[in-house]
Amino acid sequence: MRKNQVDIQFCYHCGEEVKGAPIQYEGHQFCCNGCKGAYELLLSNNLCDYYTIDKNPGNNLRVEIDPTEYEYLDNSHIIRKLLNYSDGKTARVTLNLPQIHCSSCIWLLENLQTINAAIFESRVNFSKKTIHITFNEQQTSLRQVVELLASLGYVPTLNLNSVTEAKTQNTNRSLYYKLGVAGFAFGNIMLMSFPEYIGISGDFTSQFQLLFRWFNVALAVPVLLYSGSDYLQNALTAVKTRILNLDVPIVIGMLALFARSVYEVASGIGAGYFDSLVGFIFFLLLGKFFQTKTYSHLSFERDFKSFFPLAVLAKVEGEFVPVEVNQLSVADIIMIKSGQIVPCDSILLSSEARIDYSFVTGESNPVVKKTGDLIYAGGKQVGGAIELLVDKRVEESYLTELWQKENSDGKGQVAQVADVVGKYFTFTILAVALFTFVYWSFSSLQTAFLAFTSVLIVACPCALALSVPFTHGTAMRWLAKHGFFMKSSAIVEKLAHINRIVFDKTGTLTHSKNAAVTYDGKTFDEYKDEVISLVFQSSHPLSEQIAQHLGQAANPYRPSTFEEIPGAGIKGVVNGVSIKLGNEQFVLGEQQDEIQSAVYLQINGAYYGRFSFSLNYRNGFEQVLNQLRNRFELFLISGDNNKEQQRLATHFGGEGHVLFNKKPHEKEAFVCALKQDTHKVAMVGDGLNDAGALNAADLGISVTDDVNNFTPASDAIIRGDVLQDLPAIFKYALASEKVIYAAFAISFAYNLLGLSFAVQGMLSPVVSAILMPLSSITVVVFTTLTTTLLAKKYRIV
Amino acid sequence: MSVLFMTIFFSFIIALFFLVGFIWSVKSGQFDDTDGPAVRMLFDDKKSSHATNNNKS
Repeated sequence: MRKNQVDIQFCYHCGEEVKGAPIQYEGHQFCCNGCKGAYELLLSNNLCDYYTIDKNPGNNLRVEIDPTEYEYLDNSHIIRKLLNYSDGKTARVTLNLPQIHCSSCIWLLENLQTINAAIFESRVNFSKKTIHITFNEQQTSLRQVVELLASLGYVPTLNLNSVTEAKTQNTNRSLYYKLGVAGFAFGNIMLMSFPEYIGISGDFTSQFQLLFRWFNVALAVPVLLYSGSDYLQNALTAVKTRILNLDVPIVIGMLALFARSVYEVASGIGAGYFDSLVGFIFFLLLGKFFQTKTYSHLSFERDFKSFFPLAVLAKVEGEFVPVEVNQLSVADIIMIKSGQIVPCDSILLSSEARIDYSFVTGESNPVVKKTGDLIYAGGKQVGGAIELLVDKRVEESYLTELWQKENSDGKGQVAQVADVVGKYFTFTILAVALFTFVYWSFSSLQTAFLAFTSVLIVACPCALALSVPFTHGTAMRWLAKHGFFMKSSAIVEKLAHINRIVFDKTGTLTHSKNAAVTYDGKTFDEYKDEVISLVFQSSHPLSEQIAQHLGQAANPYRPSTFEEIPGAGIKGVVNGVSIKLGNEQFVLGEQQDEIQSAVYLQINGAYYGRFSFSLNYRNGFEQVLNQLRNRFELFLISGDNNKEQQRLATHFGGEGHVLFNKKPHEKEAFVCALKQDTHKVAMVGDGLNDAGALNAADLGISVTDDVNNFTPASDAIIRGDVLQDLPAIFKYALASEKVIYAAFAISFAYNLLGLSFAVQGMLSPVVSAILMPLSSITVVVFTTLTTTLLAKKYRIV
Repeated sequence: MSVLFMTIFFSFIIALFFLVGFIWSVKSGQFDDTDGPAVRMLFDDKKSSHATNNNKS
C-alpha cells in the first residue's frame, strides 16, 4: 500500500507539505483555500514575481480569518491611537509583521499599491520586521489595509501594547553621530600631527606648527565634549553617588590628556597628545557600538499587555460593538469568542464556559466554569462565544496587578567585574600620580606637573575598558547565531555567575506543541485516508497533532462537507464516509466528570476509539539535566499536576527540588527564596505564568519554539531546539569571563610599561602615540579572536 | 606659502563635507535597516517600476 503512495506535494504558496488532497488551480497545488486565495489575488494584480524571487515564500493561511476579526479597527478612538500621523486625507501607520522573512516578502509588501491604489507608499524595515504604510484615508481605511495584509498571510501584531506603547520608535542614532565626529577629528588630527611625528623643524614649518597645533585643539574640543559626553556624565554620577566605576579613571585620563595638551600648546613646549586623546575616544565608541548590537525584532520587555487583545465586543445600547479594552468599566457586558483571552476579571453570564488557564498557571487542561463564577483575566475561552459581566477594570484585575507590581521592583544589579576593577584602579592611579608629583616637586614644580599628568594619561584604562565590550559583544553575536539571544551583552557576565537554575515544566522541558499521540480503540485502517483528509482541513492544534501522528494519506480526498465547531470538534463527509472527531460531549453526547484532552473518533455513526495526548519531553532533556547537575543546583517548579514527580525528581536531585501545582506568585516567591545566601538564580521558563519568576530571578531565560512569538519579559530568549546546548552556553559564558581576565592582564602590562616611562618624566608624545593605540588594538584583536575560538570549541557556531 | 594655508583650508572643508554627508545619511534613516537594502537592490526593475508608475499617474 505504501508503494502506491503519491509523491509528497508542496503548496505553491506556503511551501508546506500537502497532506490531504491538494487544491488545483492554474497548474499549481495549494494546501488550503487561504493560500489559493492569496495566489489568486497576486495573479489578478500581476504580482506573481513574488513566487520567483524566493521559492514558496508565502505564509500558511489555513487559519481562516474571521470577517469580523478586525471590526474594532473601525473604531475611531482605536484608529487614532494606532496611526502615527493623520490629517484627514493622508494617514501613516507602522505595523509589526513578524512573518517577514525573505526578499519576496519585501518585494510584495512594497508593491501593495498595485493591489490597493489608495496606498501611496509602503516601506519595509527588514531588521525590525515592521512596515510603514502611507494611505489615503478617504479612499480606504486602516481596517482594509490590515485585512489586505492578513489575506496575504502577513498578520499584523495588534494587541493592547500597540496602543499603550509610546510611539517613539526612533532608534538611538546618537552613537553614529558621536562615532562620526570622533572618526572625523581623529583622521584630521593625525594628519596635522604628521610633521611632529617625523620631527620636521625649521623656519619653514614654524609658522605652520602653531596653526596645526591650535587646529588640533579646535578639533579635540567637540570630541571631548560631544563624543565623550556619555563618559563624562557617567563619571560625574559615579562621583556624586560615591560608587566608583571604570568610567572614573577613563575620564580622569581623558581630562588629564586634554589639560596637559592644551597647556603644552599654549606654552609652546610641545604638540600635546590630541591624537591619543581622540583616538582613544574613537576606540571606546567603537567598542560601545560593537556591544550594543540589538536584536530589534525581538522584544525582551513584553508584559501582559502584549498578550491581551486590543478590543473586545461589549454591549453598548443593546448591541455588541468593539470597544477598546482600556475603556471597559465595571458592569459592562462583554462577549468573548472562542480562542479569545478574557481581558479583565469578570463574572460569567452564559451557562457554561471552558477556560484554558495554561497561559496563567501552566495547567494545560481547561477548567469548566458555570454561570456566576468569577473568571480571572488571562484565561482563554475554548468553547463557543460567552457573555461576561466586567467585575474589575483591566489595570485592577488580579493578575495584571500582580504583574505590574513585579515590574516596578527593580532587580538586583550584578556588580560588573570591570567596575570592581575600576574602583581599585582609580585609587591606585591617584596614589601613584600623587607620589610622583611629590617626588618631583622637590626638584622642579614644572617637571612635577608634567610627570603627574603623564601618569594619569598613561594609566588611563583604555585597553581595560575595551576588553569587556569586545569580549561580551563577540560572545553575544555567536550565541545569537546559535539561537540564544540576550537583551544586552552584560548578560554574558550574569550567565557566568549563575549557580542555581530553576526550570518550568510545560513548554520548557516539554514541547509546547508536539505532544505524543496515542490511539486506543478499534482500528480504522480502511477509513484511514478519509480520516486524514478530514483532519487536515482543521487548523486546531490537536487536529494538527493527529494529522502528524497519522502521516500521509495514500489517496487524499477532498471532503464533500466539512464543519468545525469551535470548542467541540470537526465533522464532515469524505468519500461518502461520515466522520466526527472531537470531545466526548460532541462525539458521544455525554460528558463524564473528568476533563481530559482526548479526541474521540466516530465513523459512520459508530464510536471507534479515542486519541489521547501526553506531554512530549524535548530531545535529550535528561542528558542536559544530568550535565547541568554537576555544576548547578537544579529545581523544577510547575503549575501542572504532579503526575510525573517520581520520574523528574531523579533528574533534579531529590524530591525537595521538584514542586508542582504552583501558582505564578508562588513561583516568584520560590525564586526569591532561592536567591538568599548570595546565590545567583537563573529561571528558565515560557508563558506568562512564569513572567513573575523570570523577572525575580537574577537571569530570566524564556524558551520559545518560534522566536517571533510572544515571550514574557526576560533577559534572554532561547530557541527551544537549542535548549539541549544550555550546558555548553553556561560553560562558554564562564570561559568568556576568563578571556576578560586575560585581557585585563595584557592591558595592565601595557599600563606598567607606560608608567615606568611616566614616573621618570620621560613620556614623549611619540611614545604615547605608539603605546596607546597599540594596547587598544592588541586587546581588541585578542578578545575577539579568543572568544571566537572558544565558540568553536564549545560548538556554539 | 599662503597657497599651503589655502589647500589645508580647502582639504578641511572637503572633509567636513563628508562628515555632514555621513550625519545626513544617519539622520535620513539609512542605518536603521541594514538588511533590507541588500535584498531590495536585487529586485527586477521592470516590474516594480511599472508599479510605481501606476502610483504616480
